[in-house]
Amino acid sequence: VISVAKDFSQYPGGRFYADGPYPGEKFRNELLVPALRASQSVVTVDLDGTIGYGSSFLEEAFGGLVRLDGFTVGELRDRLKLEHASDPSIVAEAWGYITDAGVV
Amino acid sequence: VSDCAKSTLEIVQPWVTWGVVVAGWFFVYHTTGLRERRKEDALLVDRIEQDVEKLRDLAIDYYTTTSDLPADQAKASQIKLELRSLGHRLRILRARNPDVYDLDSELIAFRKAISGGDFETMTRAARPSAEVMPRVWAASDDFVTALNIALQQAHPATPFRRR
Repeated sequence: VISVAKDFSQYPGGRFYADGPYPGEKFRNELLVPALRASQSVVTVDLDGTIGYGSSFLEEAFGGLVRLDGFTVGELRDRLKLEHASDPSIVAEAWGYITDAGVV
Repeated sequence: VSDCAKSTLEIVQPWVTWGVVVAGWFFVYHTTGLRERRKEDALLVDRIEQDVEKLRDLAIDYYTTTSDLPADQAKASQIKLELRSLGHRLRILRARNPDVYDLDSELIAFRKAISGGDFETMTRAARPSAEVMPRVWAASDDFVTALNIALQQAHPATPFRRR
């Protein structure tokens, strides 16, 4: 389980490394992709506990998995589990970016 | 009228009277409950509308001013915090009637409109308000409209219920 708030930052924001200390690109490259490549088991991402999310962070962190890191939508459906207890629309939005990236 | 019918009427009359009283009480109790429930929903909807308006103004200010790093970060953080509160309030509303107040897709569209694209990026430059305002206003209007339609659907007008 990767907790964004505990393992990354309570203040995630921005898209690329240049945008700040905790952008989506950093989360994807340094936590998400290594966890997905480390084994074939399901990776759970707990999105709760942060100050909030901008769509730019979510798009880069999750859409980038398909756009830039070569994962397929089907593979991620089997191996990636996103959770946000207090606002499930965040999870729906992140999955939207994954599926949108797969359509292109 | 025969004596038999008279005595039957004497027995039935109090029951009918009490029946009408109890039915009236239930009717008033039920309609008052429905009205109160609508009032509570309307209060929450009003609060969410205020959140949306605040976010709309914050987003317009954010996108139309020059990126000045510390101030820019503070504005972006406030937008994210307000978005978080909006998501929580919408969840409370949804808990009251999950089928009708399912506004996730509208919330996502609104969030994308105000925090997608180059939000929180170093490359962001101030844009003319003529470019920013229509996009942000359209997104907030769509969200508020969907919210009010959901409220009407949750509490449709009936002959015995006034708004």
